Amino acid sequence: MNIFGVLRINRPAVVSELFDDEVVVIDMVSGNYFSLDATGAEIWTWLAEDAAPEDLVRKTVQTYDGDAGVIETTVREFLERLQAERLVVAAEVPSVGAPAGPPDPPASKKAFHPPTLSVYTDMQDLLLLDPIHDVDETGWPAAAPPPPDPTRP
Amino acid sequence: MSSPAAHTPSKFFEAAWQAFLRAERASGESVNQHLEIGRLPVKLRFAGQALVPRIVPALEHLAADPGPEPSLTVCLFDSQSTGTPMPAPPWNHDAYGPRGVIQGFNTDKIHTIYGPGTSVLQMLDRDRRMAIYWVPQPDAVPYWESSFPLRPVLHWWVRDLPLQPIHAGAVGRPDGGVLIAGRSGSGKSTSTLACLHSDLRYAGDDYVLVRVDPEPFVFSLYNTAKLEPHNLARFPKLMPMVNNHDRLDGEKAMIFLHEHAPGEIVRGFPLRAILLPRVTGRRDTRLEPATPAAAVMALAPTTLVHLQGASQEAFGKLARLARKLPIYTLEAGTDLPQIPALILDLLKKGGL
Repeated sequence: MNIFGVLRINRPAVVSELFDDEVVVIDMVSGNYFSLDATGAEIWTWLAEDAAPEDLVRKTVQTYDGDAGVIETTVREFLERLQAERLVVAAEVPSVGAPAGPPDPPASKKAFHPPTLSVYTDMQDLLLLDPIHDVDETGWPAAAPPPPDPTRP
Repeated sequence: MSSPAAHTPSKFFEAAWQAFLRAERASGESVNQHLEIGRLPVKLRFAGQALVPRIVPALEHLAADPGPEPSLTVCLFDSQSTGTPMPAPPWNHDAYGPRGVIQGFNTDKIHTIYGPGTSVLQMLDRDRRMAIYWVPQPDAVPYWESSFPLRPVLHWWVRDLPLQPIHAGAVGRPDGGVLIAGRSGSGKSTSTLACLHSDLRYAGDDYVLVRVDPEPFVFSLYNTAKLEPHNLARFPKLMPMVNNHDRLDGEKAMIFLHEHAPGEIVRGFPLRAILLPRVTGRRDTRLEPATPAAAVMALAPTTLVHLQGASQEAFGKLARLARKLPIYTLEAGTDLPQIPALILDLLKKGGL
């Protein structure tokens, strides 16, 4: 049985919503959130079902007008960035029931704009508010000074 | 560690419930506060009086007569005043996850958090429609928890309903109003509180409950106005109402509006628009059209990361809300009376 290497969205830690030509993504573990622009949003929608990197590159080349080599390099860098941010993870799937890959390309091509991933990290401080102290004789964590208001900037 | 009998979420919930009953008996009195939250009956059942002043003031404007079977009963007690310990937790040290979520004690039926950073245990049993709220002693409830108590419990409770607690302010009139959304420091509270003493009424400036479907509607959750102390000078009418004057070196100024200005509060209204405040430093205030994606960026991270156990379903509710309403950036100026005037003008146009 053959094994295919694919990328998949790191659910359930990662949640996302598509708005027209923009995707908003939140990593519930890190608290970081992200905005993906039009090209990035389209690639993200293709990732909704497991997809091999080479299929994503092929689909992008078929969908967008531009130098195939440049597109491949750009898309692979974008996918690496998504992996580095833990928004997508690598997985292996058997050939039986393996993903079909992105759908067929459109009849006419669109201009290629490199996908962008904007990162917002302002929620991280809140997640650091997690000091669990030694337990006391009751078995519960010993009382500590309350942390600051989590809604305070 | 407690006995293995309590080593499942349901059994630990039962053990905590039995501890509450013992605390209630030991305190000699059960204090019941009936509320209406999102048009649903909710009962707060306290073992004694000790936690009442730390939980009830923020919710008191939602008081209701005892009515039908509550959709949710929250049982609250502390060990110090009742002399009743909470059974030791059946989880080990490694189970304390991000934002206080107890790993292994959150299932489709039971939700459990401790903290984060506080000594507050909150659990919900969905089947029993019952929650437990426990602290070792009353002063373990941080001041800010008193400003928006029970947020996790309410968030879990409405999981399967078209309701969602949202980190936002809301002002309007009974026939319509706006949500004011933004992360902390965006000008959300200032813009919301600028509408006090105007023709607009206040549903909340920090957390509100939104019904997404069929038509967006906001319900007031807390009547607590909070302001950074350095911002108080801009709201001289609020100064005499501040509840924690003696602690402003380390706390936000906190005002229970129901106590001091109940006429300013409205229990809810249909939503006509979402405003995303941005402090400009200019004198004048104006509105600029914005996108649903911008609204979700302002609403979702701060709401979902604050609320333990939030998920794609909760994110989906926020996205649906943003798609249903006109969105504007509220470029908030320094002349505060312009803010309610602009919102009233927007509402006269139906939000468009």
